[in-house]
Amino acid sequence: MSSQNLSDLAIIEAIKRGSEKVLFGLYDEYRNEFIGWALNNHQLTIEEAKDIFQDTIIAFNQNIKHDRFEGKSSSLKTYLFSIGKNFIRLHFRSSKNTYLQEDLSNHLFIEPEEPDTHLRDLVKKSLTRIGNRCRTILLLFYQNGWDMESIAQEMGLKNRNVAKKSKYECMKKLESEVMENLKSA
Amino acid sequence: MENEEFDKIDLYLLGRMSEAEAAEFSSELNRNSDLKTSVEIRKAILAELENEYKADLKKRLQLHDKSNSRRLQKRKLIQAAAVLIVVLVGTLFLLNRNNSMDFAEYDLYEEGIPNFMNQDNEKIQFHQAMNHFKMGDFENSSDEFQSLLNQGISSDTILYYTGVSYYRTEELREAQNFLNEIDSGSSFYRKAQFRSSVIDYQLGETDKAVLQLETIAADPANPYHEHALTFLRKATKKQH
Repeated sequence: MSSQNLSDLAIIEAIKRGSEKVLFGLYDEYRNEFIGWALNNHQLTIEEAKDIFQDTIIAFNQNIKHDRFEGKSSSLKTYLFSIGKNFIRLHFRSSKNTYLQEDLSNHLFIEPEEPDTHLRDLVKKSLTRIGNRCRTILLLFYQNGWDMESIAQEMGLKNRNVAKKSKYECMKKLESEVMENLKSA
Repeated sequence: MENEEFDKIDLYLLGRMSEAEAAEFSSELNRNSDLKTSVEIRKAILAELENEYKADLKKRLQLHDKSNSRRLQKRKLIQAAAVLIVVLVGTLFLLNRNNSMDFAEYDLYEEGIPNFMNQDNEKIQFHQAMNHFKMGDFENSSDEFQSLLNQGISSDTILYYTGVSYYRTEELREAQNFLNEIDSGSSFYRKAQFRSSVIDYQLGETDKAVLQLETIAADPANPYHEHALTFLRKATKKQH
């Protein structure tokens, strides 16, 4: 199922369920239009515009999954392009280009509150120790937004309960690793 | 109990608690330092998982983009190749057409046979057919010549002109059948053989045609010796 011919609501539901086919379909559908628009209106190279659009899709994906799109006042495409515009602003701001006079306050992407660097480093280290299988289960659940049934199928587990138990054990294992590292640090 | 706390932390961090539940959980966090540490750790884990996921998604989008570009490039190449093939085939077709044999060159001139007055019915029919032949109405001449043959009036002349009439209405196989019926003793025989060889060539039976034409060309006494030589020269040129 690609994004073409799907209603905004269907796209949102699919992305929330973790359908990357729909997400990549959306990328294909609007990539050229966005890049064309970005090149016409801003001093960007094609590579920069492409990079910004990829970041836009990633932020869009996270926002949809975290229910940050209400969809009352705009279509999904308008929303996607608004995120893109904000990324362009951010790009110029970070490259100290000041020709943009627009208001930068309207951020349509919300970065999660970052935990302290030390703890982040410990988590990173611990994640490498729990094995790929555990890591995949955690990513599928917490990031891809898959339900336990789908995770069970993907990972070859007996049923959703086994998948839920595995997720629990993997997270516990990871937390113990972090905790131990915290204590020894 | 442990499971319940585990799930609660998830619900809290994933924003899936009601406002009241979230408020209650927050106040519990302030009272319970162990729970607070657990939440901090889970929060850091979720943030790191998100970073990993985003980095991985970015990589996959880049790959997807590259593969799409390659696919697009490939499609463009295929389209260009298709255009090139069409142009080449078109050019070859035109060249081939230019090089192809002009068989009209080997359709020998036929004056026909003069008509005479006061003939019997059969001869009247023959002369009527010959008149049509001389006027270039080969549809009628072929029918009329064949009608004479059907009546049992057969002669090498009628066979020959029936064959030529069919040849000129482009019914090659039919034409050849009549030409090949002509007896070797007939004055039309060598002419008919030459025509039959040209028809073989036109019908794609080139080996057979070339063999027959070589035989004709090898015989300087054959009145069609020169025609056969010219034909063979052109046919060889075309093949190369």
